[in-house]
Amino acid sequence: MGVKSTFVFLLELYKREIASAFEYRFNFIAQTVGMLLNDMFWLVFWYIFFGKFGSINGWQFKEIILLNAILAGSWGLTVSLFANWKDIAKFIENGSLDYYLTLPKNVLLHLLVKMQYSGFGDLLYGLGLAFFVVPKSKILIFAVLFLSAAMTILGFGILLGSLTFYFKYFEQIARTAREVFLTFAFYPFSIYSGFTRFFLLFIIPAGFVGGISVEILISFSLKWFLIQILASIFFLSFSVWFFYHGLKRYESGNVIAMRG
Amino acid sequence: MVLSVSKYFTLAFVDFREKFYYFGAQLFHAFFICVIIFIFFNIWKAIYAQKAVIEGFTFAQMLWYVAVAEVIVFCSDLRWIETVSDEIKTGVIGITLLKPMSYVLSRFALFLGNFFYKFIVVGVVAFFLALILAGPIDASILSIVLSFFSIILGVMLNFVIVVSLGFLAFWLEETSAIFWIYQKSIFILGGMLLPLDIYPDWIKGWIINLPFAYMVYKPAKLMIQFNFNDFLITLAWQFGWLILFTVVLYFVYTVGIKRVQINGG
Repeated sequence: MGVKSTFVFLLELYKREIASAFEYRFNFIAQTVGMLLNDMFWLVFWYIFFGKFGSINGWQFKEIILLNAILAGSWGLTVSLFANWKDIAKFIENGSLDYYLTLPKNVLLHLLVKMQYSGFGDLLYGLGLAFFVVPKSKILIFAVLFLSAAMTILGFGILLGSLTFYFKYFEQIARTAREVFLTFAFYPFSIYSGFTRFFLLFIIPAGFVGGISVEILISFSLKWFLIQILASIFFLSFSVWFFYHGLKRYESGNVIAMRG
Repeated sequence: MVLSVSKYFTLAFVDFREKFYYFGAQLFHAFFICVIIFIFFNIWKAIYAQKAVIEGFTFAQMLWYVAVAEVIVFCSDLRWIETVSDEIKTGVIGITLLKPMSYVLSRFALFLGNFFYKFIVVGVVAFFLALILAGPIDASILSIVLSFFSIILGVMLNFVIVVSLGFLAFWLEETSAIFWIYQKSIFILGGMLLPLDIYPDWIKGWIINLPFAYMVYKPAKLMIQFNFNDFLITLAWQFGWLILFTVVLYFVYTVGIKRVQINGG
């Protein structure tokens, strides 16, 4: 598929997703607002924590707000637009990938596109926080880091899901690994040191979806800024390649399913 | 006949035994709890570098508190809100009504079977990790048994609230938002991540006697710092909340169940 036809295809897919969101508007609003409130609970937690202890290895409440802005926002962006990245393992495991293979379209892109309404709650939360804490002079840097974090999340998700091509029953492990990834990313990056820090940057790239971004925003480092961008491009490109490489091993599940 | 205890006991036991076929899956969950304990180990290590005791908790007690609280919440399976609401939306509840057993009690049996199974598998792994990272803490067999009794009451309290919230699916199309907010209430107001002693007095005053605290904070603290007086007070509050929410559950169920429509099939 060419770039133009891919763009038209994506546009059509999103038109349908938006039409569906309007049809189920109560669900859309309930999930968006529900997730927004859910996220705000964390602010209360961190407010209490830092109110009591002041800082953890140099991280204060301000750093945590920035972390929430980038992590929740970029997570929300991927879930709002490409929610199926979380279910790639399930698609492969139960054979429902067959549907996407029968159409003359970009398999991975088609598979990924789905709007999960709760993602908009995360996105609103992240951008809302950014509005209050990111200074005007750093908006461009924030935007680049934000997109780069979203690319890393997407790349890591595709990579995890694609491992199902090789290990067959991998869905449970992929889900746990995703939760571990998010959990590591969610806490102050300053608590990790030595091998843990290396592990969270280059094995499970949790550090690149929050911790490093916050440190760059607080104290700009061109070296780490470039490393973060290159790492996200690498993770996403490698995961796409890995998906198609694994796809050659895919065996149809002969599944018969209804698609509404 | 519907209230005969033995069938529910059998149901809980069968579910408990069946879960062992998925032993590997539970170990992954245990791994996740270990990650959280590891993260809090790092957080508390940084905080305790400046102080030996914080609000009456030593470093070891704090880490054990996190481990116990995490295990309680994980094994209580808050997702039963979605399980019950899915059973309403998909019509499974209609099939269950045909059986000579109470829907609520049968779910309670499954819930308890699930709790004990998870507590054994995940609890052992989590407590072993806490032991390695923080070392042992003082506790007698009696204090552990009595605290565990309080944990069970907290778990029962959680069940009646969770099922009542799940029953809101009789009226609402979408219940996942309720699940998220309830889950975070348990995390923050229940003291899963931090003992409520850390909270400022004005917040603590508001939340200390809410049901969330009696599901997590109070039982977990009893396990770490047992005090017979606190145990009796905790039990009294737990029974009070349990009675109140059982009445709420009964009311929501009897009103909601009239909305079930069964069209043969």
